Amino acid sequence: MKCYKCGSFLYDGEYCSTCGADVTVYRKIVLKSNDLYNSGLQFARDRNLSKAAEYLKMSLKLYKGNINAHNLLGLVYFEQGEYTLGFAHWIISKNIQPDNNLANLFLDQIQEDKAYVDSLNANIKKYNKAISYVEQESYDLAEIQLKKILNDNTAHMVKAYQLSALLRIRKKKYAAARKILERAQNIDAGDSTTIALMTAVNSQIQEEEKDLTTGELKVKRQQETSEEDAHLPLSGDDVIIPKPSYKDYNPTTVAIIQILIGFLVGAALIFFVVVPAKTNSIRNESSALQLQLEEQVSMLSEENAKLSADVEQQSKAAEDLQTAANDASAAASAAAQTTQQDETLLLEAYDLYQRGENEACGNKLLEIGHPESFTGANKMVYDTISYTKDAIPDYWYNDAMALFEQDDFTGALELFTKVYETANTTGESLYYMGLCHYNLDQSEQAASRFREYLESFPEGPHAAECDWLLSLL
Amino acid sequence: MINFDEAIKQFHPSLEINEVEQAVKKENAVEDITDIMLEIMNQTSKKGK
Repeated sequence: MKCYKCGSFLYDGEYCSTCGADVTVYRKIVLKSNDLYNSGLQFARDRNLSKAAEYLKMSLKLYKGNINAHNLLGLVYFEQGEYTLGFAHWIISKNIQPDNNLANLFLDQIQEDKAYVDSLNANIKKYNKAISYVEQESYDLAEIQLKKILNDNTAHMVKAYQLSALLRIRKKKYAAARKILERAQNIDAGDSTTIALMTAVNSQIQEEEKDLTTGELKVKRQQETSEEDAHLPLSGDDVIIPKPSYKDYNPTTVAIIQILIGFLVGAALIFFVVVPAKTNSIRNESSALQLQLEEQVSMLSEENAKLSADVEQQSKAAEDLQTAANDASAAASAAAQTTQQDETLLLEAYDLYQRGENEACGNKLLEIGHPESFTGANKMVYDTISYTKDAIPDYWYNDAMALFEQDDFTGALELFTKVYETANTTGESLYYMGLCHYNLDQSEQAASRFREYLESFPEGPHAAECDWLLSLL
Repeated sequence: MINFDEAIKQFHPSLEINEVEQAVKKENAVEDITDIMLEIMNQTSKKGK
């Protein structure tokens, strides 16, 4: 509680502790206002909204700064369908106490839902339109507008219910009026207009049913029910919905059809969504696998090529080895053969030596290809008789000179060549080879021999002659 | 018995939501007992002077 004079918080006592004003009467007024608010709250809880509103208005008449009374009165008005008055009290409450006020919550909740506010406004407009129709005595049109409000379960416009009931009473449809009034009483049990109308309707119904038998009463009730369900006359705003041409099917059939449709939809979903996705997935996996396999194949091909190259190399090496082995074998074979031939020649030479034919022996020894291969007894024999072959070039030289002198240059050349190949110690054979070629008109060969002589024996006895003969060629 | 013509006079057009300002002014204009008490106290103090 705040001081009426300075606005300070009031503690216990008869005077304001700040300004010293006498607050005895003021305190009593505010306390009485709160009492009335409490009574109003109790009536509101009992759904006696009219009585609650009455007490709350009295509370505010004593102390208009009573925030709780404003808020509750706003709520009561709102529930009765007096939306604008409800808003008004919440706004006043908010102006008195801007913060920590329940009115803020109410206002915010309603302002946040614009559709709800539009709906409330539409119902107010319909009600006002109905009032206008009533004034013009167009009662049916008024009833249509009111029925729209009554069909909206969120609309709690008690006066719309009352007006609608009054219009039914005018048509002597008391039972229908009573049903509407019962709904109005569910919203506000203490509304005096509703109570008055209900009393009048009940007395009328009792009057009518006073002389009826039970059967007649039953028929009357049925008529009232059917009348209640009957359609109202159409207005310009009503939409005519054509009667559907479907038939009611057996629930089992409907269930089966629904299951089939569900199955078909599921199958279509699987076919058009799941299968392509799965196929795509498999295709991707397959592509990945194919790539992997291709990589492996490529790798294996490379390895294969490498191994093939190795195999080829190894084969070549093996072939080379084989060739070398063959060559070695052939060489060994040839060597063995040669050794055998040489041994035969040695035996023949020894035989000639024993017979005193030293020249023939020497010639035979010269035919031996590899005398160094002899060992043991053969070597000893060869060493013993080998001197006979040392004189052979002399024999050949003498024979060659004889043929040269006989102008047999071809035969001489052959023998001089043998001497040259066997023992070219003095250059004589070389000189005479050149002369043989010269005489055989083989200029190039002759010149070659003469040059060789000059290179090997520049101071030799035939050097000047070679020079001279070269100048002739 | 209800007299419809009389009863119907009790029904008046409802205030629309855009008329809330008007409703606030009307509801807030009501004097309470506190206002009256303050007025009496002011008049008493003036007379005393």
